[in-house]
Amino acid sequence: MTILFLLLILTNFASPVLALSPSPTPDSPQTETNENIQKIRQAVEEKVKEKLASITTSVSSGKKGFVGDIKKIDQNQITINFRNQDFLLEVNSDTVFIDEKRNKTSLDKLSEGQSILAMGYLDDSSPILDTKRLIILPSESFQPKQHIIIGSIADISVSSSVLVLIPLNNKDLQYQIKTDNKTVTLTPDLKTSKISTLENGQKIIAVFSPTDTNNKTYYAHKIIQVTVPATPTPTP
Amino acid sequence: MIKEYLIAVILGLLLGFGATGAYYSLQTNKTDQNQPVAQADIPTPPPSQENVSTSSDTDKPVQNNLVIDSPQNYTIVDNSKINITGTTSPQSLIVITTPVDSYTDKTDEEGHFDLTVTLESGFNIIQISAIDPQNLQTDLELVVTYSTANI
Repeated sequence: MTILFLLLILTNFASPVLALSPSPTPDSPQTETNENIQKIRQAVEEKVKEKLASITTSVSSGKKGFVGDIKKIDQNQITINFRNQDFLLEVNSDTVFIDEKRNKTSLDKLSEGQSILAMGYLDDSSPILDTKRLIILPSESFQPKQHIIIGSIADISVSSSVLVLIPLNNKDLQYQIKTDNKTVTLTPDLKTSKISTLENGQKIIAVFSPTDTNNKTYYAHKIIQVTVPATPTPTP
Repeated sequence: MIKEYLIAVILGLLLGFGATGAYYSLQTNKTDQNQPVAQADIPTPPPSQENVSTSSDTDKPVQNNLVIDSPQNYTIVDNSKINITGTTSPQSLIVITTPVDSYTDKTDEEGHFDLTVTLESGFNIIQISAIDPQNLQTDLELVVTYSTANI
């Protein structure tokens, strides 16, 4: 009886019920699907980029100044790109070309990749700027000189005048920001304050730019306190 | 005897289902491990301009509920001081930077703002940020050229 009991248990254990449908093997079908999805994603991204790049901005008519990097020069028509948008310029014998040193130059001195400022007229009938003045700019002209970020102070060192700021919208980033006696500090009411009033955990808005010496450290021109440290609520 | 038989059957069923469940959950874990794992971002330099809306359109650049009434984007002015006016959420903080300086103000009860800023000669990339009472930041960028050249 006991032997029969043990045999029944062992038999059940040795032959487990299998799943109704076989599970996919970890190999090829799953990997192929992922690869196909990735390919489709890349193709869609490329198409979207092409489409965006081909859209000429619709800007109101009048006297306009377009900036951008030269993408294409086609006889008297120049395509420039700024922030992923294309702008069309038309030049003619009336167009004045100025180089980086403020000397007059000519159309044949232009080349793809150069940064330029084009001033002229845009009318309602055409998206092409009738360019009267075209100025070649230094490279990297379009990098903003200052950044504005709201974040929390993760660390502050009074002795070295450095604070570490973590943006509210991206906790994986952090900025090392130097301050000095020229850094303007403001309260939430925009009244002048002092750097020494800043504390760890406090939310601030920092207006800063890269330092010349080190592109991983920034200099704060202005700090605006968003919150003051919360006082703990008394427990009942 | 019947009693023992029943106990054996019940135990057998429990063991069988348990083994099946374990086998099935192992298969599910293996499938999950084959999915690509998101990589954590690594710290990088300041936000690229891809994150900032370039007010490409029109008369009134708009991003979320931040609207710039004046000046128009890509405009040319002949005065180094201009007024930037616009609308966003009430009681928001406005921060504007030009190549010359940075400016701050608060919007009124209706969300309007009006700041005077100084431009440098040539083109100016002006960054406008609005931070609402919920600390949500909205950014816009304008290009304004200061030139007295006769064109």
